[in-house]
Amino acid sequence: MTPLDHAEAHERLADLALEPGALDRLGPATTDALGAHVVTCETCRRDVEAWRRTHTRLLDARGPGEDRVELAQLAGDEPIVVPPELRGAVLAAARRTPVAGRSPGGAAGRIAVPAEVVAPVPVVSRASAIRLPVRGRPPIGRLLPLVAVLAIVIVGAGVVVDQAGRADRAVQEVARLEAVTASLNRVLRDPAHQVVNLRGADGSASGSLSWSSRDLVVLTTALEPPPPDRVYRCWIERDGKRSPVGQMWFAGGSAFWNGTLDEWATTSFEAGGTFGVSLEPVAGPAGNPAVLVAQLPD
Amino acid sequence: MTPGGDRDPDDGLLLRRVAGGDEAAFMTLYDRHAGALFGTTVRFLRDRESAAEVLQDVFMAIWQRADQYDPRFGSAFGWLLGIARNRAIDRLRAESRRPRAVRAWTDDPDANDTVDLLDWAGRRRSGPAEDDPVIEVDRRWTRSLVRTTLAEMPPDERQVVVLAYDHALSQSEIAARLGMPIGTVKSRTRRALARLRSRLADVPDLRPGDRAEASVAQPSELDR
Repeated sequence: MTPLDHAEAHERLADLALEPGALDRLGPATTDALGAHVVTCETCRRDVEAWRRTHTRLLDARGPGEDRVELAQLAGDEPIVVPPELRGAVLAAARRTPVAGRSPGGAAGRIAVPAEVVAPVPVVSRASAIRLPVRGRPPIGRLLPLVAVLAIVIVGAGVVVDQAGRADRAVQEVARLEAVTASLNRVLRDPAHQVVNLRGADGSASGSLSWSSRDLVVLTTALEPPPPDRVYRCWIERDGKRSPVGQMWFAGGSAFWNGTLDEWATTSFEAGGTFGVSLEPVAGPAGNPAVLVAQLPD
Repeated sequence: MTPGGDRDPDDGLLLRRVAGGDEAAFMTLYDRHAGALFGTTVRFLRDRESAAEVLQDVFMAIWQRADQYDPRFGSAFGWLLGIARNRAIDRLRAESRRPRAVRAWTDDPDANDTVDLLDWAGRRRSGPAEDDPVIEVDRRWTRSLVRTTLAEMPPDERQVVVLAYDHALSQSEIAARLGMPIGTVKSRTRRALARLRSRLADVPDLRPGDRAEASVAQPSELDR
């Protein structure tokens, strides 16, 4: 038996690892050259163990006995995207969190990332959304320039304000506008996207609700910014029961909200429901009359 | 390749910088791993809002305790994943204490275990290992991680892994089935398994006998 050098052994192990269970044929009692090398090589032993763990975890994931599922069933998911606003929220929270042994404000590698409060992450069902029929579409193309103008206004405002608090708010608003613009852009790129009018209490058209297989965007100019102790909450109502999904943000004279459609939702976005916005207390029970509604198509 | 993947040395260095208060290193870690941690947690909890809160908790734990990471006990990603797992299970326990509507998806292989998992905190270990609710929760976590990793893979890599595991095909049989050179099949399988290995290397074993020496002892202890 000719001894193997490490590089050759490493290659052969990588080849064996390509087939589930093949590495199980290796062991201390193995008499071939590869087995003999593994017994004496700590690096290769760790390599074998890592591959075995990988195979075992894959088998674990499939489940035992009658509950076993095929890997193909686990391989059918779409990637889940992290809500973009979380990044800024995480950094903001870190900056608010003093850590023992570190000098406050003197951290190395400080970077400029919009710091904002985490908005509730909206969840609605993509699977049901794509079954909804298309109805008349308001000219949503007009909304992109509106968002762009708003962004310019807010950026401009951020430049001229000399108070740190106002500048921070402007940065947060720009970050939210960037997020809603990106969402709207994705909606428009989806050929199956849908749009319905938001209507005010008097029935007049007051904005739009648009969605694709992935994103949901609400835009309106019909709302005044709420007082400090109130927020405009978004919800979906079905059979008289409201499920909260998010809250409206304001920039200039416009209000908006963007969410993500996802099959892992706990709130359904099915045909026949009602999307609504109502002015509610920041804390405490909600349930005030809707100021804006949109009927989801049957 | 070393266990844990090529990026682990970089992650370890980043964690050391985070321990010194380096925000840029902190956000690099976020950009590198938030997607996998969030995807796994959403699939585990089936609730995006709760998963978002867990993700924030995880990164706050990293920000405050990065100095406690010890590479001798596993990869940095394994450490992050262990913290996320613990926080997600805490969230599952809390959720199980109050009524909650859960949608059942017919194409979801985990749909049938929802009630058991939400109720698991009130159960005790009994019966065969397969029925152990703790093991079942760990299995769901592993499954969520596998689903996340597979979802991030290019379809051609996913395909060869599925053929190897579900159909027990050899590399040459896969090449014949797909009508492509065996070298192509091997390189795809290598890339796919390397991705899976870097994610799964530090996930604790489900078998009770091995749990005592579970490789995530580090985060489960430090995270409390």
